[in-house]
Amino acid sequence: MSLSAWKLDYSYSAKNCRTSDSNFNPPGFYSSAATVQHSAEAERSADQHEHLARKRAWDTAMGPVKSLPMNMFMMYMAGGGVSIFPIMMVGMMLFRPLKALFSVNSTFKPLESPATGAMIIHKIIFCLGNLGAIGLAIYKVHTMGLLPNTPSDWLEFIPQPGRAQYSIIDEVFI
Amino acid sequence: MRLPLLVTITLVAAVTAIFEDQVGKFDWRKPLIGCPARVHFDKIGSKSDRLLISTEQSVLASLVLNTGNIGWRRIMETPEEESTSGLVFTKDKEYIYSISSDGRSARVWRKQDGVLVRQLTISEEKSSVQSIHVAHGKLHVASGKTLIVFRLGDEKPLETLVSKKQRIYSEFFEHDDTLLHVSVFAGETELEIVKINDNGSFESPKHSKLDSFNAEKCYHQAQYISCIQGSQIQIIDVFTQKVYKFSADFPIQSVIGAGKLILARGAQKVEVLEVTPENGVQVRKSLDLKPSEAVGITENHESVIITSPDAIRVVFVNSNTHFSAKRGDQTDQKSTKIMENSIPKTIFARKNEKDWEIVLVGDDCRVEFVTVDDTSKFVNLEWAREESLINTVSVEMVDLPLSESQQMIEDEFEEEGQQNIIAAFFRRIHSQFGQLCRHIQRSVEKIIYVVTSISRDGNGVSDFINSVRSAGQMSSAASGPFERDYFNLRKVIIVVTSSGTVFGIDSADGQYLWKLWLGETFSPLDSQLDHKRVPLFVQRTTAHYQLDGLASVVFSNKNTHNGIIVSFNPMIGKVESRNELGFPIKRLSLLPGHTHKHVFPVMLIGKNDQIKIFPSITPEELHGSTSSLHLLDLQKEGVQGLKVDISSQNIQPVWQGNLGLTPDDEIVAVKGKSFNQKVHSQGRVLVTREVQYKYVNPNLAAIASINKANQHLTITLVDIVTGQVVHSAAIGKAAKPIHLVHSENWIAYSYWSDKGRRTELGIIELYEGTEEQHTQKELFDSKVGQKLPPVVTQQSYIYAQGVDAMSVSETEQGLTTRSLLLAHPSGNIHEVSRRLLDANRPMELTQAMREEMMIGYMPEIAVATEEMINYNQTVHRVRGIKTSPSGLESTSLVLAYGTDLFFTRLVPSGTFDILKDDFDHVLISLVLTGLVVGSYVTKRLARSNALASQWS
Repeated sequence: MSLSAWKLDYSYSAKNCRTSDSNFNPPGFYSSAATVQHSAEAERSADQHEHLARKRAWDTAMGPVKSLPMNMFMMYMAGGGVSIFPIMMVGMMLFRPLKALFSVNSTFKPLESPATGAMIIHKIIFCLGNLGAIGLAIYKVHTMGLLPNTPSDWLEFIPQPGRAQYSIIDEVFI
Repeated sequence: MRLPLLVTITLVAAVTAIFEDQVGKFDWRKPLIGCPARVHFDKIGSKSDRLLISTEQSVLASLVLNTGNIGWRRIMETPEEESTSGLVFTKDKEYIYSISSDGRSARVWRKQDGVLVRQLTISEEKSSVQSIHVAHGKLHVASGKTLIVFRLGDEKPLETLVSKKQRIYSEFFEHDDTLLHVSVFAGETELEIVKINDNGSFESPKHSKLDSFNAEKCYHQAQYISCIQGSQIQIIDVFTQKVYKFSADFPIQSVIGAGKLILARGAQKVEVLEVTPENGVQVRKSLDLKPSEAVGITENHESVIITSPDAIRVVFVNSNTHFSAKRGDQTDQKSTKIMENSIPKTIFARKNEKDWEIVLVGDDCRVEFVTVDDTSKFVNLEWAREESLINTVSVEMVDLPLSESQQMIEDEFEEEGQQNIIAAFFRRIHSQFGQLCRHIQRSVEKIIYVVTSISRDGNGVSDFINSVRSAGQMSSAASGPFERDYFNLRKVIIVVTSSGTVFGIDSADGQYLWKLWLGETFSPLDSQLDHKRVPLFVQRTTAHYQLDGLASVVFSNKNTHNGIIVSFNPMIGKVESRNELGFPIKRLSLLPGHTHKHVFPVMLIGKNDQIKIFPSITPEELHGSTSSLHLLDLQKEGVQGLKVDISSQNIQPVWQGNLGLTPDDEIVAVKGKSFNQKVHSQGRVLVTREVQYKYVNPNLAAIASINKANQHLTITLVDIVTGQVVHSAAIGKAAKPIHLVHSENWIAYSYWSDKGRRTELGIIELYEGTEEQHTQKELFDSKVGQKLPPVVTQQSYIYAQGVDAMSVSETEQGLTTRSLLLAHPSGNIHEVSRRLLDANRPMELTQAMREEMMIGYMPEIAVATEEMINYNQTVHRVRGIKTSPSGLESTSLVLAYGTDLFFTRLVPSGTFDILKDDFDHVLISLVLTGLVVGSYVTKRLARSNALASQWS
């Protein structure tokens, strides 16, 4: 739900709610003064809301980038051994950004407002951050030795060479 | 650091051991005794009849007379000179006295169980002229120059007499409490007769002149020595020193006798002679016989036994009677089996109250025990032993033919010409219908078997389970030996012996399927390295189901020395062809190409470089493979590379050189790789994840030579196409025995290190280097140079045991880590993984290496009992180990041959491609179905429960 969907309207309530009856007001309270104050704040809140929306958008965009150092630390802690827990962690780290990449638009949809505009830059930064996370995960897989990127990984597929000459090495009889 | 290492090594070892319930499941052993040379009928206690046998292979054994099983068996040192006379032994009531270790010691054995009671030293000198006699509580032994008397139970000699000259004949004679030792010295034709007194002292010798003397043509019995001289026979009574002469009207071939009777045998005739002091030599009887018949004399009865392949004649010397008894069908069980036996060569016979007991020993070392009944005139074969297997020289394992269903599948894909989709569809339907029928038939057979066995064995639950289990086994046994099993683990082992026999043995249980006898003219080929060899080739496997398999064996004619090639069907032993060549064979090989009938021809090269190819191959067929072959010719002077052009049939030298061999050098082994060895992995992965590519040169020969003068073992690796010396290594202070194995890109060898006074194992590995130096290639061409010489790594290990034979495991794809098999003199076969015998075991283990499960270098290779593939089945004097791949990549089939035959399955890396045989299918499927059913039931229950709780 977006922030623009609802707001508190202090001015409206003044007429038909109980607070309109000044008799019920605590001593020293003047509803008119409060209304004035409210309306003044309401004016400012339009500004603030715009600012907030923009900030939120940036937060969302920068989220993956910000989590990179923590991911790094986690991966460091996971160790280089090929066992079930590091593999699960690395898998999660690989799949979460991938999933995020496929749902960029839906992530930014709630943040859309006239104030934030199309958010192209946000999206790009978001993507880059996720790509960075994927890169990190791949690097981790590489350091774990799970990537088939060395000749040794393709060794078993090399066929046995045939022979150009035939030879006999056997005993000689007298 | 050592501790984890030790733990890893023990882990490696643990997987190789077998479980107690697996004993005898995959393996069998045939204990053998060898060709009997001396046979004595004997008794242990009052009941148990035994045969005491000493054999040509210097084994002393006691066979149970009723069954032919080995009661006990003692294996002695093999004499330096080959002899066929067997161990000299004598016996008294309780003990057996034998001379062994080339006449240097006498041994006393307990008759009942073969326990060595005492060993007595005779002399330091070796001699093959030996005789032994036990009488009057004293043991008399003569060996070489020494004549020695022991009191029984005493280790110190009573009297010793050492003559100046070497003896060429020596024998003890005892008659009427007088004991004589008769001997002939080298270069003399005089008998020296020494009387031995009761107290063990020797009297001064008497001499008796002879015309001439040849120890091999003499026979001794009771009190006579009879010697053949052409058609004349000279009989000496050693007690009276009288010489009798007898002339036959035919050349005498051999002479035997017992008691007072002497048999002089010619080609067509036998004279039965008797010597009496009054009348001299008299002919008691004259018998006609065929050359193929053998003659023997009964030791305690005056009768002569004459055997031919189909009958046994018993001739009484005293009366004019004789009778003949037909020999029953020797191939007892199934008449379809081919069992060719040679004619008997020697006969040992005795008469008991009811019948004659006869031990027949054939030329093919087949030992038969028959009884001939006087009244029913029938020959009863009690038992037979095939003892020629002790001389096994060549072994091949041949796949069984495809099963019917496999054939149907093959059938389906065979006719590729037909493109018609409907026809193909019908063929598929037809073949699958056939499979279904077959399956139903099998199941019905199985059910019938189960039902009958239940009704027979009673009806307990355990009986039922047992019968179901045995039904599974039954199906494999009853389908006959001629069908391949699912994993191709069952094969026909073809065994060729240097005695001239060929056996087909079922690898499942060691049964003889067939036997061929190659004839009296058989003689094995003598190789340059002093081995007797009878090469065996599998020319066509059974993979082509329309065509039978074909195997050939090559040997030479004893008389003409020309080569003979016999081709036969390896499944049933039927001889397809027998060809005698016009020349002696110098070298021979299987050709790489096959004829249109899928037969790989054998090329035979004669002494003068004649070439003959069996069966002949047309140039078109040859064109597909290769037209020339390269050979290595090792001479005393140097080494030569030869090239054989098969189509034009000429041989020309390509290169010449020497290996730096001096006259002191002796070549002890030349090893190439097997013709179509598969190397699955083309490299070795380093810790850095780089690859070191293997240098797999199919034309590489490893030549081991030993220098007697300065005790250097040199191993030279020569590419025999170009003559390039790829590598050579010298090991100082090395001595025989040397064993060499050449496989893939490595050479493993064992030698005796004189410096360390221990056996050591060495390994040489060849690599092309890492990525940069390696070029990808489809063909290995020796003529195309390498960028860099191969990288050689080598390492030596201490091995705490001697090595009798060495071999390497072989699997179908070459993917499994290989194992070396080392046969120990103690009778064990030790499996050493290549992971342990590795030239690249690091001196210092880093963390990364440890993660890669590398094993650091330790100088010793541990010999753990659980690594013995033959557990407690001792296999004596192993001469060779044959390995063969099975249908399973993890499994290699092994046959070790020597004094015993031992067959087993080997899993060098564990059974990674098959479920363990204790895997419980029944339990797991029960649990699974239980779980599924349980979950359904609980689901139902839960639903009704929820409903009830809502209502309440």
